[in-house]
Amino acid sequence: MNLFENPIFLTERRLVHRGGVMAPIFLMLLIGLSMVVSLCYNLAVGEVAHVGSPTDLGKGYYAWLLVLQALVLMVGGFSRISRTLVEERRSGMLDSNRLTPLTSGELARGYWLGSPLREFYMAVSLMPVGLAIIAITRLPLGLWIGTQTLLFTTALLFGLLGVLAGMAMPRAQGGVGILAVLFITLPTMLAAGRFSLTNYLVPVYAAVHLFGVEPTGFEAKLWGPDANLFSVKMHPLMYTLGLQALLGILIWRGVKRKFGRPERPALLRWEVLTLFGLLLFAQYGLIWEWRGETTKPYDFPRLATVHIGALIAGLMIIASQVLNLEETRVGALRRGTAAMGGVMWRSGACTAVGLAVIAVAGLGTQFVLSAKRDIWAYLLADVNILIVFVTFAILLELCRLQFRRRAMGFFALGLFVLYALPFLLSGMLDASPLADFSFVTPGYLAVSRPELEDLPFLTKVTAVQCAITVALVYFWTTRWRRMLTRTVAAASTTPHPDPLPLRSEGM
Amino acid sequence: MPEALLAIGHLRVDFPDVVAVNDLSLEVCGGDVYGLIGPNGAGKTTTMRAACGLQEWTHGTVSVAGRDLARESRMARQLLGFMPDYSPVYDQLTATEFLDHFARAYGVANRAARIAECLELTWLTEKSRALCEGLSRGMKQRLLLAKTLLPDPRVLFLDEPASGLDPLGRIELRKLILQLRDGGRAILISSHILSEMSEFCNKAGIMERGRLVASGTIAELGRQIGQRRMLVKWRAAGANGLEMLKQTAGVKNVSTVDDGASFDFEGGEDALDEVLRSLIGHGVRVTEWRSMGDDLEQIFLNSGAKALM
Repeated sequence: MNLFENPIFLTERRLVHRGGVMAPIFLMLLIGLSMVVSLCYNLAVGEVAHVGSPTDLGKGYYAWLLVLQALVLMVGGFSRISRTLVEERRSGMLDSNRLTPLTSGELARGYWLGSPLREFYMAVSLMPVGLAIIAITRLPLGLWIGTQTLLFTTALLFGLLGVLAGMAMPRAQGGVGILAVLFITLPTMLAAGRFSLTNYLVPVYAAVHLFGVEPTGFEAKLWGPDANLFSVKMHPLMYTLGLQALLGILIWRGVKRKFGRPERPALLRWEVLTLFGLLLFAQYGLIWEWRGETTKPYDFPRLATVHIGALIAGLMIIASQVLNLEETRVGALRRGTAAMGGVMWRSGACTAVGLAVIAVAGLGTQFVLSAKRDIWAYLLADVNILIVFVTFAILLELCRLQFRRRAMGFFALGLFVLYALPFLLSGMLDASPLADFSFVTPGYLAVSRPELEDLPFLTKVTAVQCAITVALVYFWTTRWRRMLTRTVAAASTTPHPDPLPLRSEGM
Repeated sequence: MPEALLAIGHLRVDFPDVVAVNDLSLEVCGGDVYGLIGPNGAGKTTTMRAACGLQEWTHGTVSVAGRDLARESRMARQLLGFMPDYSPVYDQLTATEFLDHFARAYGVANRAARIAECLELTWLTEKSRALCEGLSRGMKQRLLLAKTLLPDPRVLFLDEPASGLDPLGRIELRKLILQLRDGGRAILISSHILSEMSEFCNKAGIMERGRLVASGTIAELGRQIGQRRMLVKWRAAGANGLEMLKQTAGVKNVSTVDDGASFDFEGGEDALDEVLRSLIGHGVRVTEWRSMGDDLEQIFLNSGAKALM
């Protein structure tokens, strides 16, 4: 269906227009005009000498214009889409739309491109202002084309994320929370220059490259000319667009699935594993070059930062994929047996193992040149990754099984005991070895200081953590078995002659 | 036997800690209005949502005009219309624009004419240009009904359609439902206003804790519940007739009406005939003897489901 025949898009457009678009557009034009007047004034009164040259002055103005456009399109667009979807979900309007013969893709496209139209108009109204700045200060036209392309592709990616967030979040304010986290972490990401993957996704590095900035000294290393992926040079614009396209395809699949079955996770297991693998290898590929340029054989603190980032990304994915208690119970009712096979296969623990394998392979790329020397540290980090991922998944599922509505509180308590309490005790009792018992410590230390003398001690700590993990898995299995047996026994009196599959696609 | 346009077989829907719908089977043929009655939380809305495909079910089958909802969902959805008991509308659209949205979504041919037709059917023509936010709850209900009728569905699910409607609106709704029924549509309807449902439902089912405890025509339902309300009128029987009825086995809740009495009777046809013979035998001059009959409210009250309310 053509976008301009899509009823969701047309209605969203109608709603946006009825809410008023002229005032925001005039506001943007007024801001833009002020910038152009200010630029002309500074050029006329000789402020140029202070900055460097007219082009440098123009770059400064154009950069601020881009920031404004980005804020409107990404922050405004994301929150608009997610809020629209949350509200329509809660009011029942989305259900009415889902009952029509529109496909999941048509529904998603309508909301994705229709609800942020006001923000789109606002950003577009600033485009001629940018062009004017480029023309006045004789900056290359390529800068305008490249940056505007990046801006809109990133806005589309953020919009897709907004759709996903709107379909998953219970409340409209959740979108603001996600953006707040992004902006709090942004300075740290920016400090990593071209070695941080986020600077390609956002896409700061490609924009800096288009501006033709020529940094010197340490900055030159951070913001140098080309992106390196395992020493393969790539144009930053291409790298960014390629990465955004791959991510966009995966997220689009999730969005469509979410419209078909809102109660199910957006991404299938192979999709989350692909997503994690893609992000991880793109990130390790970026720091590969940095490592080779340092005087030391490895820049381990940076590697440790990426390692922690990979753990956090993995844990977030596991949290989104963790086994749905009700779905599993219903699955057992459909099958009429209390077999544990299905539970094991569909559990977040299974996803955790898959993610751990990918994380181990990713980390391996950084140890491949020093395998002989650092093999023990690498293996220790590998086991630690597996322990962290599996305990997280098992603990979450166990808490949901055991405590139902109070699960999150007990889960937080469990995480505190496993991750934070050892640090707290070590500080209070002035006994630093206690901190090594935190579930993240052995892996972090092994990655950041592989020549560590206390590797044998960390190995023993890891053995203890393995034992705790096995105990958790045992409790988890026992609890599941008991619950499934009880469920199937209770349902055995009810006839179910036709164990139907789930509703088909599109419902 | 006419073809069942809606066939639900052994439907089960599980919610955490509760079986919302349990082994429910029913059929609604073209020209049938099937009333789903039961206390709050009995599973009426969940049944409707599942039968439309909005609620995932554990097992069972749902077929709409011969299309399996699980396997041919898109085709099946084109044949059904669902009117929920709440009123989701786009507040900033006019009534016509709201209907235009759904007419496009359903791919309705000759949209403008069909929208005007549906507005007229639901007595909203005068409000066609009014914003939805300005409509009363009853008007929003009518607008939703118009939206439901837009694609001319063969199976209609109406969840509490009369809620929010004024008395005149209810009368019009009743007429419309009868008109749709006569047009050969299958209608599944739930409502708490049982006295009104009696007037247009030719079949009904009583739900209790997710189960359909009784189902059939209104007369069959009365028999399934095992009680019926009878009316007897007599000439100059006075206290004699009343006293006699009260002492008869199977007779309960005897109350006086003009020149006679009404009572609940538990038992078969033969036993009921015996009551009449006994009255006449004792010199009571019976002038009228009939079942008070097809009263859903009475059937519902007799079913015991009220104890759950």
